[in-house]
Amino acid sequence: MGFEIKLAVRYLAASRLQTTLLLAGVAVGVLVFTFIAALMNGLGVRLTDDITGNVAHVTLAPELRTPRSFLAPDRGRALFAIQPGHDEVAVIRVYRAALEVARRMPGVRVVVPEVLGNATLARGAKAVAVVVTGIAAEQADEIAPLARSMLHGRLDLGVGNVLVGASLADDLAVAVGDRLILRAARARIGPGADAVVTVRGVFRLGIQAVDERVIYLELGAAQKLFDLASGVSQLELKIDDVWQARALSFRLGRATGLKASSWLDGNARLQEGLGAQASTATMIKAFSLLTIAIGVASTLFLSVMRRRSEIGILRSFGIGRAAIVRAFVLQGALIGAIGALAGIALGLGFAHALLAITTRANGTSAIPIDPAQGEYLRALVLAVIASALAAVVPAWSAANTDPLQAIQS
Amino acid sequence: MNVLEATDIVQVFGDGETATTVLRGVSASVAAGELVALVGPSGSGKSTFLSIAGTLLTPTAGALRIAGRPALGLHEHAVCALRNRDLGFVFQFHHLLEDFTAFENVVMPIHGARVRIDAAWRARARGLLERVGLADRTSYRASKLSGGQKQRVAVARALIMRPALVLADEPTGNLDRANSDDVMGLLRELSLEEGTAFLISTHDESIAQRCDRILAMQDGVLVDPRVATAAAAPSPPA
Repeated sequence: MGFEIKLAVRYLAASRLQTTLLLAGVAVGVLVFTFIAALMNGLGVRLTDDITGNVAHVTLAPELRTPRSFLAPDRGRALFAIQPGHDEVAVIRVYRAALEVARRMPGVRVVVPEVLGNATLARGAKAVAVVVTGIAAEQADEIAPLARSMLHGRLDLGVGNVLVGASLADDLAVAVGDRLILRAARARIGPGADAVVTVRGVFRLGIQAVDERVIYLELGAAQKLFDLASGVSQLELKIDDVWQARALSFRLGRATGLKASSWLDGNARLQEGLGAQASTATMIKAFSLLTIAIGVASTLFLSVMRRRSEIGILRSFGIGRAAIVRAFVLQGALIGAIGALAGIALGLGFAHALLAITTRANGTSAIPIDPAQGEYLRALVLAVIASALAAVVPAWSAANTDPLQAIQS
Repeated sequence: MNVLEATDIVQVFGDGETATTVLRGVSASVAAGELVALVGPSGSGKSTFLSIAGTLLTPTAGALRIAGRPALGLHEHAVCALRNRDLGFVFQFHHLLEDFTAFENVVMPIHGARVRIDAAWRARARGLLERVGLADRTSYRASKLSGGQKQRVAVARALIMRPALVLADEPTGNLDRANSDDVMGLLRELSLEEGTAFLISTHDESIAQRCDRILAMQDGVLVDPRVATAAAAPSPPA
């Protein structure tokens, strides 16, 4: 291989201008590849983070009773039907076993038991239907980033405290320190159906439905409000890799016997959008590789034409076709490797510069580019492969040079 | 021992009505260490015969033996090995690799043998370059050498593998008289020193006269050298 490497390097070094232009072409192709990767992957990560940062990645809840009809055996006529009540609160009566199973599952970061229920929040004569989320005070920030979403007050889910969304607070014209009456929507008679709560914080998560309708209550208070004893409505989980949510939810469902759903189930459009974006990025990257390949192939063809007599004389010495092929494929691979390294350096510099220019005072960037997501290793490997493959046809043409014709020409 | 034995070599280019017969049953041999001139007018078939002798062209018919071994119908690897081991080439145009030094050009055929270029090979290459008068030009790029120097490098390159036979096609065709004489003198000396046979195609009568033997070709057949010389000579004025 030493001879082929020497020949490849010497041929590249001999045509400096041509080689420099070719390397520049490969570098620009790789720059486009890495820039598109950093931009599209950055956008995907930002969109995904925005969504998965506010919601549970996997939710474990009890199965609702399935609507069923009992039919008369002879005529197929319904005798009677069972339907779940619209205000029925699904409850996991004993959740600790399931919680432990989920917590020990590899890939699970945190498990948060929650109580969910419909209620009415009243101030004076005005009453608004709300969704109560009961959560342990120490876990209040685990699923949704409540702490950094507080507009007023603080994240304090002590006894009798409540956190309300910003839109809801506006609607009820309440502020931190105001006292409200909270009443469970499910009609029942007895102590605990009503609670007097104090607004300790007003949050804005940026999700309209949550900011308008959701209030946070301490877990025990919510259990008491909805008469759940020590039961909870669901277990919410955060996991390490959000894209493993579906597979993990399947395993968790089987392990706990609960109905498991992933954040992906409710975000099909996001998935479609990210898929379309990924396809677009792949096409652009493929075209940049194709451009590299065409550039390398055309330049090496010219090199073969120019060096036909030299190749012919090498063949007359008894240097075989395979060695000639290797020498030209090596030229392609070397061009790919050096050009790609230059392109990666340019891509990294460009992405960092763009990020610096477009970063706002609050630390977020106007352009969702993430220099760490530039797929640099992939770009390097693919550029080398594309360049080497592009060199195969010119190399084969060189190897099949008729020594006699080449020498006589 | 004959290093070249060509028997009834026929070469036809094209087919049907366009078929042109260039060689018509040429039989010739060259003995080890012999310096043989191949003369004849342009189009007589000299270069075609040389190409066949160098296994660069497969004849339409006939038999060929190089260094005592059959040289036709061989596999690609065997042809490469034969050219590398038993044959050397010197062409009218030197065909050096311009981006390589004189030394690198001389050792180039060693790569074809797939052997390591060790101290012994390097010493032989330097010795040959010294022998052709280029001891002080070993590290010069071929592109920096004069025409005569390039042809000397080509001679050293042809001899590096100690071939049995060197085929030289108009080796002095691009050189002036002084350089032609130098190169021919060199071939003669190297033939004696290395024991290598040379088959030299030439138009130059004085070059032919310095060889051990002359093969004359006319219209694709070997003829008596005196006939060929007379045919090639310009007609006397009327």
